[in-house]
Amino acid sequence: MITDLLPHKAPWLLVDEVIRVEIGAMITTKMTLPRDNIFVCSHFGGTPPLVPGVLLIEFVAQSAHLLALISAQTSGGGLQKRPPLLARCKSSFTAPAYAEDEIVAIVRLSNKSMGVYVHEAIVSVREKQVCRIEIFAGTAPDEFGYGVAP
Amino acid sequence: MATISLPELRQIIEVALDRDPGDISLESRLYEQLGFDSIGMVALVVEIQRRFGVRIPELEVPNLRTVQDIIVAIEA
Repeated sequence: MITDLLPHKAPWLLVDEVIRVEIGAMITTKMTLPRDNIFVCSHFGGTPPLVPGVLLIEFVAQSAHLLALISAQTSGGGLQKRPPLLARCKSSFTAPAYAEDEIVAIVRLSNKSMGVYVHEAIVSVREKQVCRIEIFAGTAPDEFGYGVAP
Repeated sequence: MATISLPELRQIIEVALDRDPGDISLESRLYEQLGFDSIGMVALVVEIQRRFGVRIPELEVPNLRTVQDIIVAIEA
């Protein structure tokens, strides 16, 4: 289902599993990055490697996108062909996440206005908070070349 | 009906812009002087809703051109 919905492909597809969905409201997802993952294997050479914060942000963004797609599909609406683009991000990192950790994101749609969706997320490893992230995202404009009208 | 002071509104604008807006007055123009863009306006709407529980209708957002307009919209 994830690969059917999200346009992301390996190695950039980060969401491994959808644990829970509340249509139009919240999604809980999981990712686990192996030690030899191209984005973490040399970050920074420790054992195990440390997951970069930017990947946690991307994980949240993909989860938010998945929430929108599942919600649209469930409601019978058409799937938005143009991908979402991150417009603003605020994040605070409070604990490390490492390769091979089961990283869980609880992502909630907290607001939407003028075509921009605001999501708040808590990312955890073994129920210990790793980071809090807030993202603003909108749909890519036509001039980005995706071409298909919504 | 919410009432709002200029210092408090300045705080909200700072959150929305994600930077210090500098000196502001009621006449300060949001786009031309304070540097608001579309995302900043969304952040402004979100922050106002968080602080005051007031939701500014989307159709009214393009009419917010000055700091005074924001106060009027909140207190309406």
